[in-house]
Amino acid sequence: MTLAEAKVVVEGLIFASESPLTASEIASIMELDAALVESLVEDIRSSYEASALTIRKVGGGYQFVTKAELAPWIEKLGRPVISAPLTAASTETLAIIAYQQPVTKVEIEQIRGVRSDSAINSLLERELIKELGRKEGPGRPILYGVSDKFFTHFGLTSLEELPMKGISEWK
Amino acid sequence: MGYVIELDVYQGPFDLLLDLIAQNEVDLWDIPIATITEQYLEYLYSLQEQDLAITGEFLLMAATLIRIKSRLLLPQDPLPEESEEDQEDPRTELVEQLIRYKFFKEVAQFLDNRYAEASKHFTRGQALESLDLTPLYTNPFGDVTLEALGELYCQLLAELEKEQPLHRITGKISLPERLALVRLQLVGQPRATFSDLLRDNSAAEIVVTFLAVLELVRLGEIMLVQTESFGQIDVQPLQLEVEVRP
Repeated sequence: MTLAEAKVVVEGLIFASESPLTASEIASIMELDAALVESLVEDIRSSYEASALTIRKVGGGYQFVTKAELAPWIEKLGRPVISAPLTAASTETLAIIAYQQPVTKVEIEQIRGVRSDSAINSLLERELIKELGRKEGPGRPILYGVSDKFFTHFGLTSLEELPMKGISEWK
Repeated sequence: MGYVIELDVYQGPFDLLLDLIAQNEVDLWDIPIATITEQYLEYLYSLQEQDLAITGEFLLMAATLIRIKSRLLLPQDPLPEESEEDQEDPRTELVEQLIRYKFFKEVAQFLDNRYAEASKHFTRGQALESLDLTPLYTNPFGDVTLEALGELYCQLLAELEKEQPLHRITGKISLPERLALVRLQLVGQPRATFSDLLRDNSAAEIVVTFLAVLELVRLGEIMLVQTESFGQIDVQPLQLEVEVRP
């Protein structure tokens, strides 16, 4: 397989996959080196410069998305935006879960200073967080962590992209 | 008509405290507890004046603030054998909680910005996802208009204004009797409405009639049809020949 042929296959795989496809997944399908796949993806991305589409990296995987400048037009299609924006309470709760996971409800509430049941429930409903099992100890409380959808929702590649400024003041 | 309540919405006591500290432009590590406590309580009073519920968390923080304030007022214990812990600034624990909360509030802001950016990109499967979300809520009023509501209200008022008899001799209303009566009322009628069966009845009679109607449904003699929420309930006899028992 020539590089040009490989590039076309990579493009097809990313297009056909329902969820973001990681470089290592592509590499194992094509029996190629993951680093090579990454450079092929960069090639594909640049060949899409003059089109409506681009390749976005979310949660470590690649996916085809429309370019941001098309948003006003696509919204006119009548297609509602993914879902209503999160409430301030939910976003705060999600921020805590992203840094402190695996974390229990009580630990979240200690940081927020308020009950957080409804925020946690709405995040579970939206599948932005998931249960990671139970903490050993009295009551065996449920442990929460972020889901794969969390990364797609916020266009993040990994938790390392979250801001660290000011974290040393309390950690 | 009506009035508008303008109130900052706080996510909790930490959120309120941070806002007060920002408004006063003071250092987080050197909070003027007396001033902040006063303003904090003022906010709670303003909630109370507007009949808004104050949750336990806000009250707990009020108590914490007052405790810190009183500890600051007390002279330092001069006895040397006191452990170091007690000599600590009583504000420290609260400040640490505030700093931690403030950090996550900023992260939440970061996530909001990221979402605003990410939601401008569309993927292929997305339309299906959003379609699932649309029918989450239905309007409980259906297409009831304001006029229809007004009319209903006038009817209700007229009903209330009707002269009530001074005396009413009420006997015990038995379910079998009422059953028979409802059956009679339905004879020869292809359909009736539930309110037809209720004409001029007292509350007790309405209850028994309702039970009688349910019983008839159970016996399979009638069928109830309601096409919209809070709408007319149609009573439809299912057997053509209704047996009338004395």
